[in-house]
Order: sequence, then C-alpha cells, then structure tokens
Amino acid sequence: MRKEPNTTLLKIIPSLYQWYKEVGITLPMVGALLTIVSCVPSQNGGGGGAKRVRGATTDNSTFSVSPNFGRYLDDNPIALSGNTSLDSTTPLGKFLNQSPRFITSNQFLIAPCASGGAGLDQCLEVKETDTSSYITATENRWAFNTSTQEFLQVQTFANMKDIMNKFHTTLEFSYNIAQGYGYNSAIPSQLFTSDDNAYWFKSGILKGYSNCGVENNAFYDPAGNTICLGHITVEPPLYVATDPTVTWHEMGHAFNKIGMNTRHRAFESSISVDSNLGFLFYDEAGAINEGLADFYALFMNNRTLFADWALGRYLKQARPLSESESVHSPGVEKTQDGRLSYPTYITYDPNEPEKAFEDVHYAGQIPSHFFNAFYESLQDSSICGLSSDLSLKMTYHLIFETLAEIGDQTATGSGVLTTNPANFKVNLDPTNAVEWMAKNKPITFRRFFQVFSKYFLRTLGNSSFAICNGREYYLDDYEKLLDSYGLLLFKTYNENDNNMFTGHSGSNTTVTPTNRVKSQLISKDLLILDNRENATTAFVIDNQRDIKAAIESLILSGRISSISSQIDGNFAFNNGNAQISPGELVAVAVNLYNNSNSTMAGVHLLANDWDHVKNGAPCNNLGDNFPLDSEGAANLTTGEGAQGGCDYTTRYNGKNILVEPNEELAPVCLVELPDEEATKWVTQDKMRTNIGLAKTNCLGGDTSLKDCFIRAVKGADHAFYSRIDSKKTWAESLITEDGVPEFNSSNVIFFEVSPWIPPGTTFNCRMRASFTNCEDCHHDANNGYDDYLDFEFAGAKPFKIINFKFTVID
Amino acid sequence: MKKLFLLTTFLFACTLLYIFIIRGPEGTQEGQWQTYKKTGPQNIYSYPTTPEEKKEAKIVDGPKKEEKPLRSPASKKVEKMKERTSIKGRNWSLLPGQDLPKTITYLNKVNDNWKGLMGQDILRFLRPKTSLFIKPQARLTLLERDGGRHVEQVMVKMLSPEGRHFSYQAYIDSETGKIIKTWNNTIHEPMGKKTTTFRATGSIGPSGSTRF
Ligand SMILES: [Zn+2]
Repeated sequence: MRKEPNTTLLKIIPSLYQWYKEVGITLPMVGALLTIVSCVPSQNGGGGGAKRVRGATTDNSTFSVSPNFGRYLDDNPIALSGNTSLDSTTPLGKFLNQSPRFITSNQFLIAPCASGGAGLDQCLEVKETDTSSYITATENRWAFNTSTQEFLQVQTFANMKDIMNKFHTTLEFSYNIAQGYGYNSAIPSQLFTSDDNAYWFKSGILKGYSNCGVENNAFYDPAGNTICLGHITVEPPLYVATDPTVTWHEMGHAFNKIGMNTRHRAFESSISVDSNLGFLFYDEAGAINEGLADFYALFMNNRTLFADWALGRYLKQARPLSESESVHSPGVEKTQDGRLSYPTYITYDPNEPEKAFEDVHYAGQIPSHFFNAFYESLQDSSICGLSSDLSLKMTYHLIFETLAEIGDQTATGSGVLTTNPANFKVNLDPTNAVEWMAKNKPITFRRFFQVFSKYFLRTLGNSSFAICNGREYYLDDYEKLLDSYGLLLFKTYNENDNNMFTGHSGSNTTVTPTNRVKSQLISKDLLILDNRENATTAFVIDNQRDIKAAIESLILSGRISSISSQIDGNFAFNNGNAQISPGELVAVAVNLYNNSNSTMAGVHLLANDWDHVKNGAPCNNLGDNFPLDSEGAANLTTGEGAQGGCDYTTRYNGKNILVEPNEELAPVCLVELPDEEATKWVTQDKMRTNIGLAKTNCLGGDTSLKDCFIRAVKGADHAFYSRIDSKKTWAESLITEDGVPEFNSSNVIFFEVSPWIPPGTTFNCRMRASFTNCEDCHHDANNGYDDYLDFEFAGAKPFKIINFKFTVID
Repeated sequence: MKKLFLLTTFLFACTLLYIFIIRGPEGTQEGQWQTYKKTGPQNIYSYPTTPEEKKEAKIVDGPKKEEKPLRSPASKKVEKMKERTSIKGRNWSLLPGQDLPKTITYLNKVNDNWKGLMGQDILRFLRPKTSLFIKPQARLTLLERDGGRHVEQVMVKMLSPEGRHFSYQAYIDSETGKIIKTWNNTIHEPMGKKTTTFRATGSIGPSGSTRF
C-alpha cells in the first residue's frame, strides 16, 4: 500500500506546500526538501560559532552603515574570537558582525512583533536604565563605538529582537504543527486571535535595560516585564549585555512565562494571577525554568556552552549543555552510563565538582542536557533524521506543548478551552490550579517530562504521522534516551489525564519496564523521620538574628503572605533556645531520613491544609495509624463513602460549599488535650474553647479559628530538598565543613507560634511528603499504574504522612 | 432661593459621596506609585513616590501604551468572561467555571486605609532603610468558599538597604491590608555563590533538645 507523504511539515512553509501541490513530489523528495530548507541560513540566527578574523577591527562609525542599520555582537566575544582568556579591556569592535544589520526604522529602540498573522506595534524596547531617556539614531544610523552606552543599548536591542523574532517563527511553526496534524494539543486554537495576546504578553511591552547598574547580576522581573542586565565587577567592568547568551537566557525566562500562561490568556479569562515556573528558592520547577533558559542560548547560537564570557571568564560559572564539553568531570560523556543523569548530578557544578550546590541553575543542567540530547537525536538519521532547523523547532514544539499544559489555569490542559468541569483534566480546577502547580501536585522533573513525553507520543512517536523520514521516532529509542538521564520516572504516558469524572477510564500507553534502567523508583514508605539511635527529629532555627534575616529575605522576594500580628515585629519572643516557644516565629527542618538503598530526589514536604479531619476529629485510616480510636479519632462508620466521611476525599479541595457542604480542609497541626482518662488529639479550635481563649487572640484573628495556635506561614508552608542520599538525611547528604547544617529558605517550614499557648502543650503536625522518583506517590498500582486523579492530591493517598510531634516549651 | 440652596447642597454632597465611594478618600489612584517608610516599629508614613526615588528603585512611569493587534481576527470562538460588579467600583474576578450563588455574603469590607495597613504589615519586619513602593493595579472581589472577598491587586517593588531589587504582584485583603497571595516574583541570576543560608540554632528529638 502506498503511504501518503508527510505533508504537514510542508504546510508550514506555504511556498513549498504550493510547490508540492503543483508539481507533485514524493516522500523522499519531501525529506530532501526539508534538508534544503534547513540549510538556508536562518534570518535571525546567531553566529553558529563562526569566528571573526582576529585583529581586524570593524569600523563602526556612523556612516559605515546605511540608515536604520547598525552592527552588534551576534554571540559572545569568546565564542566569536575563540580566545577563552579574552580580557575585559579588549576593544570589542573587532568582533562585530561585518555586514551591518537592520536595527529599526523607529525613532527609538522599539520593535514590533508578529506571529501567526497577529502582531503588535510595540513588543520590546531598550534603554540604558529604566529611568534614562530613549536614545535616538545618529543621522538615522545605529552604529556606535563599542565603548559607548549607546552601543550597549543597540547590542541589547538587537539580541532581544533576534530571539523574539525566532521565538515567534518557532511558535507559529508549533501552532501549525498542532493544527495541521489535528491531534489533542495544548496549544490553543485562539493563540493568535485572543485579545490577551497569548503569543506575547497581556500587559504589553517587554523592556530591556542594557546597563541597569546591578553588580554581578542580571534578572527577569515578570511583574514589570523587564530584563535588567548588570555588570561583572572587574576593571573595566564587563557588561553582561556584551554576552548575548545571557540576554537570550533572560528572554528564555520571559518566553517560559508566555508558555505557562498560554491557555488562560488565549481563553481571555479574568484570571489575573500568572502561572510561574518555580515557587521556592530551590525547587525542580525553578530548575526546569533555568534549564530551558540556558537552552534558549543554544536556540540562537547552536553552542553547547552557556555564558562563557559573562559568567565564565572571571567567575568560572559557565554552564555546559552537552556532555562533550571539556569543562565536565571525567566520566561525563554521551553514553548510556555517562549522561548527566538525575539525581546523580542534581547538585553538580562542573566548575567545582567536589562540592554540592542546591541551586536551580545547576540542577537545570540535567534538563538542558536532555533537551540538547533530544535535539541531537532528532538529527540522527538512525533515529529520526530531521534537519537541525526542524529538529530544533520540534524540540521547542514539545516544550511549548508541555508548558501550555502544566501552567494551565483553565485546568483543561489540552483541546478545547471551556468552563465545563467535565473537561478539567489537569491542575484540578481553576480555583485550585496555582496551589496544585506549586504544592499539591508540583511541577517536578517527573511531571514535566511525563507531559513532554505525552506530546512526543502524539507527534514524533505517532507512526501515522511518520515525521521522521517516513516513520515515527521509536518509543524504545525515546524511553532509553530519557532513562539515560534518569528521567523515565513515570509508568504510563497518562494520555487519559486526571479528571475526577472520567477517572481511570481511557487507555494509556505503558512505559516498557526494561527500558527503565537508570531511573530508579523508591517506595514512599522508605522516607521516614530519622529514627536511628539519638536521632534528631527536626532542626530548629529560633534565634532572633537568623529569623530576622530569613524573614527579611522571604518578604523582600515576596515568597510569603502576611505574618500574624500576634508575632512581635522584632521577634522579641524568639529566645534562641532551639525549642519551639510561645510567641516565636520558628523555622523547622524536619529531619527526613532515606531508608532505601538509592538516592531520593525532589523531596517535597507539605504543611498546607489538607483533607484529614472530618466533623472536627482527625481520621485515622490514612496510613499513619494516628490517632488511636481511644485518642479521639473520627468515627469511621459515619458517612462512609459519602461526603464528610473519612474514606471520602474532597473533589474540590474543600472549596466548593455548594456541591460539598461537609467538606473542608484542616490545618496540619493537631493538639494533645490532656484528659483525665486518656490522651486526646483534637483540633486547635477545640483546644481554644477548652482553655477559653477569645477568638480574636487567634493567630489569624476571629476569622481563622482552625489554626489558632500554630500556623505554617503561607508560601513558607512547604519545603524542598534536592536529594537525600541512601541511608542518610538531607543534612548528612549535603554536609557542611563543621557538620552544623545550613539551610536555605526552601529547606525549612516557618511556623507562627501563638504567645497564648500554655507551655507544655504538645502538638502533632501531620505533614505530607512526596518525592520525584517515588514508586507509589504518583501512580496508582490498583489502576494499571495510571496517575492518581487530581483531586486525590487533597488527601493522603499519594503521600507519605510525616507526623512531627513536639512540645511547646518556654 | 431656599430650594436652590438645598439643591446645591444636595448636589455637592452627592459629588463628595461619589468621590469618596468611587475614588476612595485619597483618590486611590490605580497606576500611581506610593512610597512607604518606616520611622519606628509602629510608625509608617507614605507619600507619592518622588522622581528621585523612582530613579533609585528603577520605577518606570509613562502613559500606558495602547497595543492593538495589527490584524483583527475575522471570527472569535472564545466565550468571554463577563465583568460583573460586586460592590460599587469593583468587579468580581470570577474564575472559569465559577458562578455566583444567589445570595452573597462578603467576608470583608473595604477599608479606606488598606494601603497604610499594608505598608505597616510589610515593613513591620524589615530594616528601616528598606524602601517599599506600591502601585495599585485593580480592585477585585474573589469568590471564596464562604463568600466574596474584596482584594486589591498591587505591584510591589522593594529595595533592600544594600540596594537589591525585588518585585512581585500581590492580592491584598481590602480590609486588613494583609498579603493574601503573591506571584511573578523576580528571577535573579546570582553570579557568585553567596546564597543566604541559616545555621540551625539546634535540634530537637526524643531525647530532648540540643543547642549548637
Ligand atoms: Zn535564569
């Protein structure tokens, strides 16, 4: 039987498609054409590693260019010169592109953008700093001496504009792939027609500052939508803007924001909270954000070393994107064994491999290396055989699909945008979507790559589309590649998603178990509170100086919501006695222990409210044998299988009073009430009425009685640990020189402790833990290893319950 | 004459009432930056941000640019969420799938001094030389489990005493001035490995506590 040629890729290139229709070409010709297309130099492409002639300084005087034109560096000076010891004193003129390029015909450095037939007049602008004036062209020309601030602004503008244009070309390609093949895609059909500019920013222009004054720093501010490029403190300063890879990296963060917010912006919903990729100082979502941002540098210059000028030259912090970069430690290589795999390399800095850094930028190297390996595999004729251009576009297509689904606050995930709850397939529902992304079902390496893989299956892995030179990318090849990075962490591709009404119906493609060699999954029961002899239950930070510094950093960065007015502004009750005392604000690092023989990674401890108390009493059928029936457990025979009963998990995270009037969440901490006959575990409100405390004296005032005495600060109510090694705790895994553990703000949970707690009162905070490479935290062995349904993450099933018991002591 | 006087008085009172209800007593201007300073543990004062401060804090002003698509789509299939008023001068921010119940109870009131309370709330734990700048962005009512909650959507910028920049957006409770939710936090690229870490004061365990 004759197979129809694969025409959809052609359709995205209209002239070629026309040619195909008119002339009639065969399948091998299609492949050949795609190869030819990929050989045409990219309009906006980077230097591709081309070297400038050393010593030949390009004259960049005003009249050396035509009106509206200028010159700039289209890669960093080390990449352009090949000289890794280039000095910040070196004049950069000799590395400028020889042929002038069009900059803008606008009066100022302001650029329009267009994609998919839509467009905006003003998409980005560049100035030196936010308060400086716009520069204008000299005699209508944008050529400036490289030592001037004007040059730096043109440089930044051109780098931003080039990547914006390439991003929009790629996004249009991606949209056409989704529409052309017509599979169940996350890329919304309204991408280019929504009034909320789903292909760019709802609130308009992206601003770049070429010399914003910050030392040894650059940042992307998604609230104001600005990119700030600082300088490296050497003499003379190395301006970050002279390293386009850093500008592209920052643009990558901006593109990730667009990606995460694609669906609800396309829907023009009134959602004003943006979805973010990363919620703590360290979490895997933040690592994916950084890895993707590094990959945006490769997107432009096809190089596998990021920021070897701005970060590498003086600070020794350049980051590779391929195992073949020489900066890597011995043993890191492009083999099944040698890939930069999870979790082995999760805290690895190739520049200082002997130390461990829990940092999103270093952890991001695992995804960035995977993206590059996948991109290379698409070019490999034995695997797929696409051109490098199409390989890059298809890699980004899967990235766009993934971001659109995981960040979706409409909760529909893919397909039609609707308000119908029957279509809420991801992130539970619009009310809880952000909480699900950040805490209950967070964006981890497992979640991201499972969704990425689902869209792989729907496109490159689909035999009827035959995208890879007339055939599909074989699933075995794909799973083996993912596994070589330790990222084959899921058991099915979860095509049926997680809707409560459809449940586990629908078929899922199963991962071939023999392909999972490096990606080890560990039972959640092996994550425990350290119970060895003389073990520590938790580390406590309660001295004023450290708490002040910690809270200041959390408030400045906006990671937490308000702290109770019951807590003194100077932390006067914080006594530094390493106990939990009345009136204190304390940071607690619960001492989790990995009792398995493998490294646990992405360990996430939750202290947010959940469904474990019914009718005012704690349920004891949740797997932790707490509390005993005699200790005040809820009556299990009441309302079994029905709302309000202990074997019912809220479908709406306890927030739908109309449908579930008897379902509400409870705070994690319960309190021991000394009884004449036996100990009773009760809710904090019961304790309040018992001791006769006025409602207004609760931590949250008279409207928040359930967490009257002990409350986890919102935003600091979850902790994340990069890895816990076998038979160790986190503190033992990332040991400091003197053995006293040092924590960053994402390793601890902050608790407000009411000054009204009678000393001697004992609490049990019933937290929930999960980890990325967990065998039984994500999929349900009783349902064909299909993923747990979204609503189940409001309860106990996907988690290991960690009971943290302590007595408040003055 | 008396009737004219009464009418004039009535109209004047209506105008004042209008200004008060719609704009707030300080004319709560959306889009205007306000600076907050801490002069003591309980003392915060605020004023419109000066040009010098804007320069220091990298605050950009300017007329909001109108961005119109170059080409409008011929047909749109998106069912647009309709704006519905909760109380005067304020709209519901309903999420997809959320419907208003027949009777609404409101969980809070709008306090005219929410901005002052918010400034106090944020600066309470910070060093006096910290600069705080706030720009109101929208006045909304969110539908929660037990009723409607009025919130102020704001953009927050902060400068640490050492000059580090931070920015984010937040919902502020319109009555208490407390931060309810934050998003769009700045993504820094720290070039150097100085992260803020905290040493444990000590540990607790079954055998008691230990101070390090
Ligand atoms: Zn970054």
